[in-house]
Amino acid sequence: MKITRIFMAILIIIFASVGMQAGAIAIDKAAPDFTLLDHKGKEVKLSDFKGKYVVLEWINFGCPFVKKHYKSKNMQMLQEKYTGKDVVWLSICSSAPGNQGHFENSRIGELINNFGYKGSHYLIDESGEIGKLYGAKTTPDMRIINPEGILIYAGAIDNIVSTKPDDVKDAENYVAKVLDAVLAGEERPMKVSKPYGCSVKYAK
Amino acid sequence: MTLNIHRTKRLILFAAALLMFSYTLHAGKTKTKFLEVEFLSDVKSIIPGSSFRIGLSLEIKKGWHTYWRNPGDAGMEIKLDWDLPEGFNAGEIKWPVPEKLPFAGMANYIYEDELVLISDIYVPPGFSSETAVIGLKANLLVCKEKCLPDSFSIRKTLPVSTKSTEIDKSIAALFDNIESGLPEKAAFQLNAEILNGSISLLIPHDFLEGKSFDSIEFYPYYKGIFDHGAEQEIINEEGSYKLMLTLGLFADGPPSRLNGLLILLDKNKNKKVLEIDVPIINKS
Repeated sequence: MKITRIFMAILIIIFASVGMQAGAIAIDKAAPDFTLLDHKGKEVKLSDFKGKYVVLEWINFGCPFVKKHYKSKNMQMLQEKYTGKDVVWLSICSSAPGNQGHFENSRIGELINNFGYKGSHYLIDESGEIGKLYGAKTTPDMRIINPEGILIYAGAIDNIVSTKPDDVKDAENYVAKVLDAVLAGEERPMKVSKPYGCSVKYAK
Repeated sequence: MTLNIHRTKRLILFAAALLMFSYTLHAGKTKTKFLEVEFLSDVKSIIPGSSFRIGLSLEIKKGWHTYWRNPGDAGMEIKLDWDLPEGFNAGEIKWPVPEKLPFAGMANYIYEDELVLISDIYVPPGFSSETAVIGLKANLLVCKEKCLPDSFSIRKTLPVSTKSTEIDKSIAALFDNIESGLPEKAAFQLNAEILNGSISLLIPHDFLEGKSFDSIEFYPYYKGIFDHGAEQEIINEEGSYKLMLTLGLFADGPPSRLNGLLILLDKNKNKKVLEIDVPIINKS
C-alpha cells in the first residue's frame, strides 16, 4: 500500500513537471532552443549563441508595419548598432508558402541587399513552428534573450502604432531601451509590451 | 406683370441653387481606395449649450475588413482625430459590436461591409459664430489577405441657430437604430477573480434569466493583455458558469479590472451583448 502511494506521488510529480515544461514561453524563463536554416541554406541554432544577447525579429517584407521600419532605415540602424556591440540579431520569417512575406531564397537575397539589411541571419520558419513556439503574433514582433538563455523582453519594437515611417523618429524604441540598459549592466526597464503589426502569416 | 414672373423665376432658380449648394456643403462625403465615407449629423443646425450626434459612415470594400477599439492579436484600431471649433468636445466613439475573426491560433476583432461610428458633440454655450466646421482625420488599417493603411480627412459645416434645433429626421432615425444595437451595460455586477494566473468571470445562472445560450464569449477592451485566440472554457459550477480567460505573453501581470463585452449566443444565433466593467479579485 505504502509503496503504491509513493509511486503514485512520484508519477504525479513527474506528470506535473512535464506539464509545466510543455507550457507556453514566458518572460524570465528559458528561451527554447531551435534550429532553422537561413536564406543561404546555413543551419543556425539558438544555442550557438549562448553567452551573447540575442534579438529575434519577426519579419515580413510585404507588411506595411515592417516596411515602416525598413524604409526609415530604423531596423537596419538597430541591427548595425547592436551587432556592433556583439548582440546577435536573428530575423525570422514564419510566413507559410503562398502567404505574404514568403519568398524564394534568391529573392530574399535581393531584398536584403536592397534594404541594406544588417542583421546576423534571416531565418526561414515556413512551418511556423518556431513562431508559434515563441508566441509571435505580428510583424514586427520582438524578443530579447540574455546570455544565460533567458527570455527578458517580448513585444513591440516601439510605442507608436502606425505604418508611417515619419513616426519612427518620434517613437520611444523599446528594443534599444532594454538593450542599452542591460548592456550597461543596469536593470531592465521593461519586460513586455503589446506588439503591433500585420498578423504573422501562418498557414491557415 | 412680366417683370414679376421673371423675378419669381429667378428667385426660384436662386433658391434651388442655394439648396443644392448647401446640400453638398452639408453632405460631407469622401472616397478612398477601400472606403466610401459619409459624415452625418442628426441636426441641420446646432444650438450653443447643447449637444448633437455626428456619425461617420464607412462602407468598406467587399472582402476587406478593419478593426475594433481592441484589434485583437494583430491589426490596428480605427483612429479618429477631431478638429473642432473652440470649446467644442467630442464624446467617446460608440463602437458597434465587432465580429471575432479566429485564425491560426490567434483572433482579431473586425468590421466588414458597413459601419457607423457615432459620437456626441457638445457645443459650448458661448459659441457665437454663424457656422461651425466639424473636422475629422481618420487612420485605418484595412486588410484582406494582406493589410494596407488607409486614411482620409472630412469636414462638415453646420449653421448655428439660436432658435430650437432642426432635427434631421432620417439621420436621427438611423442613429437611433444603430444605438439600439450597441451593447447594454450589464444590469448587475458579475464577479471576476484570478487564481494562480488564471482569470475567470463568474456568471450566475440567474443573470441569464433562465435562458440557455449556446456560446458565451468575452471580448476585452484591453489591448494586448489577453490571449485572444485561446479557447474560453466554460465550467459549470454550483449556481454559475465560470468563463476561463487566458493571459497572453505580453501581459505585465493581470489587469485590476475586467472590462469589455460579454457576447451571448442562443441556439438560433440571436446575439445578446453586454458591456461589463468589474474588478478582478485576487484569490491566489
